[in-house]
Order: sequence, then structure tokens, then C-alpha cells
Amino acid sequence: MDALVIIGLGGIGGAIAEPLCRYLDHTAYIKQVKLIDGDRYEARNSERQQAATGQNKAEAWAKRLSGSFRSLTVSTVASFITPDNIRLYLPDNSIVMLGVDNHATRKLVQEHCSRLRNVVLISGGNDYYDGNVQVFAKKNGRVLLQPITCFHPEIESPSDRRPDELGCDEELPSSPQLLFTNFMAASLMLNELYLVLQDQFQHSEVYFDIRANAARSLTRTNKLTLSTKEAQRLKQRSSSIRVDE
Amino acid sequence: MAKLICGINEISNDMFNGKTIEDVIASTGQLLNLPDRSNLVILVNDEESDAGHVIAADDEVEFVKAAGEKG
Repeated sequence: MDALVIIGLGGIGGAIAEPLCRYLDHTAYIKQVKLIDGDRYEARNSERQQAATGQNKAEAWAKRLSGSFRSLTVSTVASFITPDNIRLYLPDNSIVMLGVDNHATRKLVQEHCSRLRNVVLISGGNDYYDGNVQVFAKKNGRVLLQPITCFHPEIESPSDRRPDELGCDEELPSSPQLLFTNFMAASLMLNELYLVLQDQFQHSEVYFDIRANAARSLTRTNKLTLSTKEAQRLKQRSSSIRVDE
Repeated sequence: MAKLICGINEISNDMFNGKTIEDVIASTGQLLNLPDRSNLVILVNDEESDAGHVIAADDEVEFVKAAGEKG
């Protein structure tokens, strides 16, 4: 893999960034890290995130990381991921750590990743106490772990919208989050990344709940059948979409 | 022994054998913390199924918990 891309530098992405860069700085896997987020820190973020109000989240993290991990090249994209820019920012041979706050962006990223030949997508999301991590993997065109939209109609047909789809006077509905729940999602995502870097593609999904202090990983075994279905679905869709191979 | 799963929760019991998923939802829904029925995806041995499925002794029934939305 050539690059590691973190999309969303909020509660989960921000918890991933520093330990991930520390690990990459001391190993030989990947030396290019890209941080993508169009969001700016608001005063209400201060209970879970540390930065000056008004600063772009990706730029703030890049500034912090660049000085600390000299073997890494950290680049930033201070805008949201959209259908217009996703091919530019998520090329083939990427590992994507997705920590966004809406299912519409998860769907967009999954659909793009499904068209690549070599890609790993690790997506985390949480509610107040619980959440999940999903892993999609494709190697040399072969799907190893099923898309994150599989069995998840809330992602396949999202009821929310991407931030770039909102008007100037609109914002995504805000709901309270717990810092420790963000940390657990981030930690499980990093565990999955570690396994992937060891060439172990084991878990389609990991659920967790901090009230039980527990996590359960699942490997759904019908992935080959599902991959075929997904491929057919994407093939039908791709007739109207230009595909980068 | 049939196993029911939802998120981190799991229940295994011989008493599920021969019952429909619909039947066991009524008795285990709260224990498993099952999500809203209107959007419930049910997998039996990793294949998509429905509430009318009759549970066999070695079935693994998963009620797919919705993905966390925030980050």
C-alpha cells in the first residue's frame, strides 16, 4: 500500500491520528499519510477534542504530527470528501481510516473503494455508549472482506446527507458523544489496521459497548457470494459512471 | 445448540430449536437489545433470512445491529 488516508479528524479520527503516525514512523509499511476534513473546530468540540476554535481539523492535526514524526510525509485536504474530489484524494493502493459522522459519506467512500483494485477501508462509528468498526478489503481486484454497506441498510440507503450537500445555513444534526466511546472505536480500528498490515483479513465487523466493556468481532463467511452480488450491482451502476481501473 | 447474536450480545439455548425466529424475538428481544423491527436484518449462518425461519439445532442467528453513526 502507498498511502494511509484518514477521513474525518473529529472524535474518532483525532484519536487515531497520533498513535497511528507513531506506529508508522517506526515501521516500514507506509510513509505517506493524508488527512482529510473540511470541518472546523467549534467551542462545543472542546469536551472531546483539543484545538483552537475556528481551525480546520485536518490542518491542525497535520501541524501537530509533522513536527513529531520525521519519517512521515503528512499532507492535508481541508475540504470534505465529495463525489467530485474522491478519485483525486483516494487513489488505488490506499488504506482508508474512515471516522466521519454521517452514513452518506460512508456510502460514497465505500462505492469508490469498490471500484479500486487494492484498497482497505476501515470504518468506525459510534452512538453514545456503543458502536462498531467495519472492514472492507480488496486485493488485486479480489474482494476479501465484504463492503460496509452489506447488511447495513442505514448505510446503503442513508437518511442523512454529506456535509457538502448541506446549505450554508444548515449543519448535520448534533448529538452528544462520549470521549471514551470515541476512544474505543479508534482503538478497535487501529487493531484492525494492525491485522491488515500483517496480511490478516479476519473480521468483517466488530461491535463494542463500553457499558459492558466488551467487543465482539464477526467474520461473515458468505463473503464470496456477497462479493459477486456486489460486483454485479456495481457493474450495473458503472455503466453510467466513469471507472478508474 | 442454536445461538442468537446481536451486537456484543449472545444467547445459546436448546430451547430455540424448532421455533421460528419470530417466536424467539418475543422472548429474547430485550436480553439481546434488539434494534427496531422495521429495519431489522436477520442472518442465519451468515445468509440473509427472515423471521419465519425455523431454527435448527446448530443455527447461528444474527440480528444485525445498525452501524454507529457519529465519529
